[in-house]
Formats: sequence, C-alpha cells, structure tokens
Amino acid sequence: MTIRSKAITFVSLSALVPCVLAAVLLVLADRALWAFLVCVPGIIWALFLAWVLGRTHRRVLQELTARARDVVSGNLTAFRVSDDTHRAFPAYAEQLAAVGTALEARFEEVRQQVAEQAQEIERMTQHVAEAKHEQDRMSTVLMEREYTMVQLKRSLKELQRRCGEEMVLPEATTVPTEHDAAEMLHDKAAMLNVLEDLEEEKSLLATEKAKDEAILKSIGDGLMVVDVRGRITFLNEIAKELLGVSFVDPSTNMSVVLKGIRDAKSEAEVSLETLPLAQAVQGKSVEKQDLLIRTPDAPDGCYISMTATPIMVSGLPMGAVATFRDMTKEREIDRAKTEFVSLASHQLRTPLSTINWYAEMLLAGDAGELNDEQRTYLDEVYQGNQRMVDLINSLLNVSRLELGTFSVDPEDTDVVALAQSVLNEQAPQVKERDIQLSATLDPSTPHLYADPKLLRMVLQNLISNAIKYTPIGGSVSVKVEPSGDAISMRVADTGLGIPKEDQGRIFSKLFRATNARESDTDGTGLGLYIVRSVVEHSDGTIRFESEEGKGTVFYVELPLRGMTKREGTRTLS
Amino acid sequence: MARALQIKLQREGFSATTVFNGAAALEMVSKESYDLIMCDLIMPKMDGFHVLEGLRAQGSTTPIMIMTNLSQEEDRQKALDMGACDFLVKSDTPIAEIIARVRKLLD
Repeated sequence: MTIRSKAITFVSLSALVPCVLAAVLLVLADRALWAFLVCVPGIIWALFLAWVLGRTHRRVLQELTARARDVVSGNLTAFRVSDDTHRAFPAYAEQLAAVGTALEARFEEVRQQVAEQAQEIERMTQHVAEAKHEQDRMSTVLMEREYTMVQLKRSLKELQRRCGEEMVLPEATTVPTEHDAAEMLHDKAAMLNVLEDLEEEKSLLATEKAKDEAILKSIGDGLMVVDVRGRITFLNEIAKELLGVSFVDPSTNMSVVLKGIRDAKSEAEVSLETLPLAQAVQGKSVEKQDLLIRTPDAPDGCYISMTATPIMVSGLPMGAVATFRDMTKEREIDRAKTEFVSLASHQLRTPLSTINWYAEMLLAGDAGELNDEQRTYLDEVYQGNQRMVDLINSLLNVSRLELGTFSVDPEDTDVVALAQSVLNEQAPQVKERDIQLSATLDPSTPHLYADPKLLRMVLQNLISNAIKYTPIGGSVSVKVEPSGDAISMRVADTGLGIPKEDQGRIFSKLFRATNARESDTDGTGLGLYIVRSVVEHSDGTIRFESEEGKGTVFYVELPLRGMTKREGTRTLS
Repeated sequence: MARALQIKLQREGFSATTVFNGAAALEMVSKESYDLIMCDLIMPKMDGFHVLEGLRAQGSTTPIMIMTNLSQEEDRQKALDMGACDFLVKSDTPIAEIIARVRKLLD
C-alpha cells in the first residue's frame, strides 16, 4: 500500500470512527435520528474516501496490470520510475527497479533458454529428417539385398546343379541396423563380385566345354575314359563305331564293350586284364597294342591299335584314358605295299635270272667255246645283270626296313668269325685291285646275340665300299674288338674320302658322294642307308671320319646285350 | 628260265622234263616217278604251294626243291613246312650252284 493510500485510509477512519462512536452513543441515548444524522456525513465521507481509495486502487491496479502486460511483452520500461515517483515513493521506486532488473535478467535467461531449445529442436528436427532418410535408404538396401540374395540363390543353385553339391543359404529377413547396413553393403559388393566371377567362370566353362566337345568330336580316333573301377565315363562316337556299340549306360563297365577282343596277329582272344586299358587303370602306361575286334558292322574284324594312359591324381590312379585307332586301312595299305614290292621285285628278278643263267652258261662254254671278245661282252652282260639284281635286292631291303616288316632272328654269333668270312669273300676284289688288306680281329671279342645275316650285311657293305673306293694299291684295315659293354668294328681305307659338303647326306637313301659317282658309275646309293638302319635297329651306333683324297674310317658299335628278336614276314637279303 | 635250267641239267647228265603249270606237274608226277621235282612258286593255273599240297596228298615222297624269286621268309618257311627239302632264290643263285644242290639232293 502506498503512503497516499495509507493517509487516505487514516483520514477516513479518523472521520468515520468518531461518527460511528457518536452514532452508537446516540443510539444508546435513544437519539437514533441524531445518530443517523451524525452517521450520514461520516458514511458519506467514508464512502467518498472509499471511492477515492478504490479509484486509487483501480488506478494502481490498472497501472500494475499495464506494467505486468509490459513485463509479459518484454517491455521493462514500466519498471522505470520517474524522478518524481522516485522522490515521492523512493522505496517503491527501488523495489520496482529491483523487480525490473530481476525481471530483465530473468527475461534474458528465458530468452537464452528458448534460443537453446529452439536450436535443440532444430537439431532434433534435422536428426529426425536424417534418420528418416537413412531409414528410407536402409529400406532400399534391404530390398536390393533381397534381390541380390535371390540372384545369388539362383547362381548357387546353378553351381549346385553342376557340382552336385548341396549348398544351404541363410535366410535374411531382419531389418538391418545402421551397422548391419554397412556390413550388408560390403557383403553385397562381395557377393556381386562373386556373382560376376561365377558368371564369367560359367561362361568360360561353357566355352571350354564346347571347345572340348568340338575337339573330341573332331578327333579321328576313338576315345574311352574309365574310372578307377573300370566304368565308362566317356565314349566318343568313333569309339562307339569301332567297338560296335550304339549306346553306353553311364555305369557300363569296360569289360562289356571290350568283350571278345582279340590279338591282331594271333587272333587269339585277349583277357581283359592284359588289355592296355585294364593295365592303365592300375596305374601303368601302356604303349599300343594291335587288336582285332569283330562287330556286327564288321564281321570280318576291324584292326585297332589301343593305347592307354592312367589318370593320376596325387600319385594315385583315378581312372584311365584309352585311344583306339582304326588300323584296318593302314594294314591294307601296308599289305598292298608289301605285296606290290614283292610282286614287283619278283617280276623284275625273273628276267634278270634268265639273263644270269644264260650268261653263266655261255661263259661256262655250254654253247661252245667263246672267243675273247665274246667272253668280254658276256662278262659285261653278266656283271650288269648282277648289279640289277643287287639293286632290286637293296630296294627290297629298304622297303622292308621302312615298312618295319623285316625279321630279326638273333642267335649266338661269333663276330670275329663272321668278319673273317666276309673278308674271305672279298679276297678276289682285294687281289684284283692290289689292296693292302689288314685285319685285326681280337679273339677275345665275345660272341654277340645277333642276327648273323644282318651283321654280315653291315660288314659286307662297309668292307666292299672300302675296297671299291680305294685306288689300286691302297690299303684297307678292319678291326673287331671288345669295347666296354659293346663290340667295336672299325673299317678304314685310304680311298677317295667323302667331300665335306656330302658328309651330312652320306647315310641318305640313294645318295652317292660326288667323287664316288665320278669314280664309279655303279652303286645304288642304298648300302650305307641299309647299314645305318640295321645298326640302329640293333640299338647300335655308326659314325665316320673322312677327308677327301685321304680316306674314310667307319666306326660301328653294337651293344653286348645283342639284338632283340623281331617277328617279321621278310628277311633282308 | 625253265628252258635254260633244262638245258643245263641235260648238259650235266641229268634227264629233265619241263612243264609250265602246277596242274600239269601233278599230272606228270601221277603218271611217272621222278628222282627230284624242281618247282617254282608262282605259276599259272596252280601255284607251287598247291603243288606241294597235291604231291603230299598223292603220297609222293619225291624230294622237292622250290625255286622262286620271292625272297620272303614266310614263303620259305611255308614251303619247308609243306615238305620242300630246299628253297632257293633264282636271281641270287648261280646256275652252277643249283646244279651242285641237285647233285647233293640226289646223292
């Protein structure tokens, strides 16, 4: 309450109280009317004062209300009192100022709080927006992941179909958290890479498979693949044709399709265990075996050559691969060649034999004495005829060597004795050409398990060549001796020698060195070819050293283990 | 060739008869006996192997010398297995050697 209000109230009460007391006394004195008359001015005065007081209060309230409104609206000027008010109501003014200051501080504080809360709200709004965005993204990722899983399932099912393996895939149905989302993105990238690799691998596999199938189809030979138990895992069309089967069940054993197969030479039935394929399943590589198989389409038999190789994994046989080559045509060609050569040689020899015998008979005087001139002519005829016979024999031998049809019949052979025998045969030529012949035949030379006919052929060629190509009065030496695990034969001459440019071809078929041709028009050019072929077929070696105009040395080494018996239909003559 | 051989054999004191195919040879042998039969392998009508077969079937024990220009080992072996007592290659055998072999067989 203000001072003014207090003053007004005091004055009012001062005026009213006596009036009231007077009224009470008058009433007690039965002077009601006087009491009323006394009270009325007091009452009027009290009412007037009350009105003034009320008006003052109203004004004050209004002022307070206005100030409160100002405060609420942030206008703190209401708390600034004028100097007059300050002078009139200093306490009031101080209190008002304090309230204003406090309110101002409080307003500032509230303003800051509001600002902070506004920022917080802003941040939260942004977070909410980001979270919303993230959630939308996660939803997209989840959908993509689901799609990727479906794709991966399809690819893995494809792999499963190819590999025959069961693969179980995890089901993903939970909504990923942020961490899960990052992991899923990583997984997705990895799975996509795997998927791409799988697709690429699939494409490569398909290409390789197509290529392999094309290669296998284009192979001209039959191909059979069996597992470790002998069950057929692959059989190409050529093999089916050769073996006379149209369809093979995947579990068919090779014994079913190879039943009744025979040896090509003896035509005796071959047991399955001895076949190359059966051997290969055990882990052994088997070179070709010639077989004969009779099928409904080839009742006379079809000659095949079988070669088998084991399939090894980590040193263990896991199966085998066999190839079948149809040799029927080749055998027919070989037979035709051989028959042609035989027939041709027979037809060529027949007239030569006639000429030989008649010339021989004439020279023997069976048709009367010949003069020198007749004898000379007949000699030429006879010699020429002999050269023709030699040429035909050489051609026959070459043919047999090339066809591999010549036989090798080794026996215990005294090489020294054989060499001496050949030297004795050449004695007439040696004498005729006045050749100095020396022979060093070591008697300690062991016998050799060799075909004497072939060995004789080698020595005859080398020694006769040495004599033929050595000028009259020259020398030829022959040496036979043991040499480690071999027998060494050396034939040296002081003859024409072989020109350097011809040395590389001296063992070639039908080749004669230039100087040899000029010196002697005779000669087939087949002798050294035959010698080398025979020596090499016997696992021996032959080499030479030669200088034109000085002579030649031939070295032959034959291993002590001897020659391997060889079944053939022809001998070399 | 047969003629040349016949001349030579006769000159050497042998009596020789020549036929020019295997069938004729079998017929001759069935009518007369001979000390030696010298037979080629390749002949018209009947080859030497069939002659060998026929002669053995007839029960002939006459020595048989096969002469041929086929030098195959299998032919030689086959002839010897079928009863021939000698096998020579004509182009490689001088006629004098043939005569020597004949003398040896007949001794």
